Amino acid sequence: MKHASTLFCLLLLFCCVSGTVHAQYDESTVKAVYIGRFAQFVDVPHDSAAVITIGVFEKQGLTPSLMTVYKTIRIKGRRVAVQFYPSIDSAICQADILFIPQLKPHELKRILNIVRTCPVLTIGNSKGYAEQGVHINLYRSQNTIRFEINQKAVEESSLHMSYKLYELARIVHPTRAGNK
Amino acid sequence: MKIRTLSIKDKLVMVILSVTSVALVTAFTISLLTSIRRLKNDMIDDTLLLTDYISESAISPLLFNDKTGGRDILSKTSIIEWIHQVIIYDAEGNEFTRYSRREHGNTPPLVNEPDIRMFIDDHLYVSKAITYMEEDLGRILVIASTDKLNKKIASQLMTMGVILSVILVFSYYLALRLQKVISFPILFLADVMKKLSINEDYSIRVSKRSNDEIGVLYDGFNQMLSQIQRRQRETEDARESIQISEARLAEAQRIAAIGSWELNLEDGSMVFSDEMYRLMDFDRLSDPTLDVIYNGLSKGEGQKFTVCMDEARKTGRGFELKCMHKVPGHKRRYILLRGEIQNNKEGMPVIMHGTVQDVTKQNSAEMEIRKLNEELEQRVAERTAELQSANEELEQFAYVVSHDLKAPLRGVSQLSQWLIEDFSDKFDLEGKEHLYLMKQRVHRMYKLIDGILDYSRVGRIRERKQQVDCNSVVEDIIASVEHSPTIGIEIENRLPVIYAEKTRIEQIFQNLISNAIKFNDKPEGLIVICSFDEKECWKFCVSDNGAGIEEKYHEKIYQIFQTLASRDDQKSTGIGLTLVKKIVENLGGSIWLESTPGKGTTFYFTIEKRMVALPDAEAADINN
Repeated sequence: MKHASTLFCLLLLFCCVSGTVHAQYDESTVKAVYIGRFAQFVDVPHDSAAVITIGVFEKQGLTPSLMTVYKTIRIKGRRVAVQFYPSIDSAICQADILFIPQLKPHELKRILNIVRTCPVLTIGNSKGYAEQGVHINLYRSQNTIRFEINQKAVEESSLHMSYKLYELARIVHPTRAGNK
Repeated sequence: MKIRTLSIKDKLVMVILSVTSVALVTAFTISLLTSIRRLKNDMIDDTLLLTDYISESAISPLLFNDKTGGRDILSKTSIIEWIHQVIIYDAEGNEFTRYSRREHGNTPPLVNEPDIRMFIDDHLYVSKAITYMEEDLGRILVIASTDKLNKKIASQLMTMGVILSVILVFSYYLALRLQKVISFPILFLADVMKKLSINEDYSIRVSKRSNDEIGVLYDGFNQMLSQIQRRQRETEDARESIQISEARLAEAQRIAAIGSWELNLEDGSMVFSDEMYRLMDFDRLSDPTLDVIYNGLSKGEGQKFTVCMDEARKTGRGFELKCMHKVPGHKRRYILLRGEIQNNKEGMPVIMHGTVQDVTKQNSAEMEIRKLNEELEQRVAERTAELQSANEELEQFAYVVSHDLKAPLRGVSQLSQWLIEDFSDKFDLEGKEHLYLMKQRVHRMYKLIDGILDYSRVGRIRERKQQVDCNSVVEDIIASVEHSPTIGIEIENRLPVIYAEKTRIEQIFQNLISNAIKFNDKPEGLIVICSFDEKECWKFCVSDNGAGIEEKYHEKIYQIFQTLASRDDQKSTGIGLTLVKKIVENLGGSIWLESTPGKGTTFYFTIEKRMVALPDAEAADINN
């Protein structure tokens, strides 16, 4: 089992090093890698922590892939920690990246309200999340994992996102509900 | 056209243009190559900059596998005309996306190559890795067209070509102008030399225009002209002198009737002088040959002439041949042929030269002289015989007269003696003195007659020759002659033994020694007799320390009856030295004296050895 885990990590490393996510890897792994790469294009002011924390709200879904991928891979040279938040409270502000699974609307709204005042990059994986205020939202298009960015939400946050992400992303505009 | 045939002007222009061309082409080539290199580097830099930009832009598409995004980025390069193709490969070497303005069939596999930048055909290939955060995301290959570069190079090439052409044309113009500085003085000098060679006027001079090497050349040229002019003058003078000499020689030859000839022994050619032509009566227009001389000789003399010529060639010695020569239409004449050999440096005979002299007149004169000589000799012989006869008659007469005179003298002497003896008491003192004086005069007359008889006998009366020991002769004379005991007579060295008439030898020594005794006025007289063995003769001396003889009498004393004593002095008759001189001269010798008045006199006389040499038989006896 241990050997199998090591072999997978090596393969993943190869994929990451090559910078290309191939179809033979599962979608969760690709999304987990994408999450780390988004972080490479986003600067957080006064961020000097040695560890980048990816906050998750469920133990299933993308979390196992995140834990597997970032067991060895570093972002911006820093070690990555996957932090599970069982509840939605102000603790989520301690995370650097917050992966938001498909939640109930009020839960999403609550999360967005909490992180509005703290420099947390929010990444969603559900349709319409970007319009609702999540900074980056993953979606599938023509059998390819793509992403969309709520530029206004990013600009209103204290985060600084590279234009390179904007060039690749689909820019969405927030809905009225989202802005509230 | 060969370079050596070009004029100096063309050579200078060619040299200037060659140097300028080489320098310009080299400089332009270097400049062009540098420019091409710079342009290529600029293009590489531009392409690299673009590559970097695209690489940077391709990072996020590669990270997020966004081929559309990558294509969008690459499509932006479409505004750059010289970019023909951009290909982005992913980390696995698969083509991620590409942009092609123009397809290139053979894209080189560059994935695993290190960063490259190379020009292949008309394209620049630039490839480099795309990395992000130390992650190798893939590679980018940019293929750029070099059309623009080539156009720039062509443009520069054309510009440089135009500039080069303009500079070369300008250089040619300058060379044409500047070459005159060097070529003009030289061409001027060459022109002067050409005129000089045609006109041979060496009085012209060129004026120096610069102080460089050409100025030195001008000075040297002028000096050379001065020397040529001087030598020409000297040559003309020499030629004039030669002409004068030749004219004089010809005149001399004409006067002396001497013709000269010269034979070249190598090619057989001959040269005759003017007089030679005249002498040989030979046509000047014909080639002179030895036959001209040979044909005029008799067969025998011709052979002699040939032999002389051959001998001269072999021995190198000249010859002289007198022979009779006959030129047709002329009288026979005598000619003197002379020939000399002239050798070259190696000692080989190369020239024979000689003279032909018409000696007909000389020959006639010689014959005339010979004839006159013969006549003269005949006349002399006759006269000599007549003279000899007259002498003999005279000597006979003198002898007879002397002999006949002695008889009455003896009678007078006897009568005077009788008068003294028988009638001495009849004469007074004066009479006795006159008788005594008469006796003395008779005695002197007697001695004079004896002397004349002796003198006349010399050469006339021949005694038998015999061995004469001069020592014995002198010793006998010393013993017999009366002399004061205060006078010493010595024989200094051994006198020779000769073969002669003894009486004549005795007469010589007798007279000389007697004179030395007679005229010695010193209290202690000294007479020395000596002899010297000279080469051809015997030399004798009779020396005394007497009164000496003044120089003015040195010749006079040999004349007959000449004496330094008074007439009344019975000791001297004035015949002795005359007799001695005659005897000595008959023996082939001579007599002379050296004297210092008051100190003494030395008489020297010589006798030729051949006149007193012992006959071979007697000499052999003596030796034995």
